[in-house]
Amino acid sequence: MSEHLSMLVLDEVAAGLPVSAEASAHLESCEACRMKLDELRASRASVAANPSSARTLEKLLAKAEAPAPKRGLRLVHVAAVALPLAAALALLVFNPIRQGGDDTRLKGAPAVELLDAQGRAVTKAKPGETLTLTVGGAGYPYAVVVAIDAQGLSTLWPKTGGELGALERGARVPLDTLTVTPGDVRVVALFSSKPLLLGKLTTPLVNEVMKRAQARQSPLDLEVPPGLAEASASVRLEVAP
Amino acid sequence: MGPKAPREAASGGLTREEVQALYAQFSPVVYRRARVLLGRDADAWDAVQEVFEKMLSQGATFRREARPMTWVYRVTTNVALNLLRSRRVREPALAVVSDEPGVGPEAVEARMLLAKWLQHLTEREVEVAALLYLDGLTQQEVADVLGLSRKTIVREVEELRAKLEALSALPGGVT
Repeated sequence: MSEHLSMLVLDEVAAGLPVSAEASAHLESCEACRMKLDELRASRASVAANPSSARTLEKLLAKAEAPAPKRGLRLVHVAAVALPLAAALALLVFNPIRQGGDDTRLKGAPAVELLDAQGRAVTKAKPGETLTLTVGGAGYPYAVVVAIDAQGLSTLWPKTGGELGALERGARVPLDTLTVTPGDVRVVALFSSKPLLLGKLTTPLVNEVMKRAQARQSPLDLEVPPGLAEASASVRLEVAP
Repeated sequence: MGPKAPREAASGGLTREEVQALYAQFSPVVYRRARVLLGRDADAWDAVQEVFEKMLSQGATFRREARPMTWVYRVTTNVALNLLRSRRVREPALAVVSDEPGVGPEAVEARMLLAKWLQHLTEREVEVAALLYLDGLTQQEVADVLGLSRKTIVREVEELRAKLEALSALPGGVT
């Protein structure tokens, strides 16, 4: 893709919706588009923080909570994950990789880890450092991994599609390489024994992040709501200023 | 976890949480686009509310959208243009020069063009022009947003362009 991404595509990226592989590849290689996306995300954050936004939502909910129809509609696209406060700066840049995982902890607890170049699990890093995101499903075949930071929540994996990603067997299955940018981040993996729409697990998390933002609490301290997923694991990464 | 509202409490069968998630996902886009077209914060938030009311009441249609953002673009444009038309009726003197402080020259130019388009173009033409020239969509994306074939949009854009040239109403930078 030689042309820059359109506003429509950038809006889709900023909103956490899936975009084409060409668009993702272009974004990784085009600084101008990344800058535009950063601006867009900042603008989304500012709109979300506007008191009129909360007022409008309240009015909307008040209207929406009129007598409800009996049958529920589930919006499939919600599965693509909402970005709370519409933000999530380009915290991490992803380059998909696929390597074999080892099975040594297959029967252990589900885990998510960030590995440095030497393969050691880390909780501290410096901007610019490259880390490998790994998970161990401990028998759970499906998962979603999200990043939560001061700007909001974004999905790390799977990168496309509206459903949980299918995990390979292994205790440290590599999913992506991540380039660290400034700001602490919490990486949360949610596991399931069944294929589910992403939104089933991520929407409640988005809401929790929003609630914390409204209460001026750090989203990094967020606890995964009990019962949300069959299993979860998280790691907090402190990023040196 | 989440508010205490019952699971099926909200409109269109959506739970309160789902409405909140949709709002978080799409309201910044709706607001930004409406703000450019309408020029006033209060009107832009009115547009946000109207777009979301449509989204919730047409839940099934929205659900079927392969690219939900195209639905958001189309409906936001329609809602904003309708508000603009009704504003022109209610307060013609304010229709164009209604910018609030902090609005850049690009936004002012956009609305001056829009005012011209509203005077001289059909509803469809205004819609296409707004998506193409104000939102910067490609012709294929405009076709996707409006549900038109590629062939139709190419023809309509050609005609539109000729009309705008004749009116001297093409945005700066478009040749």
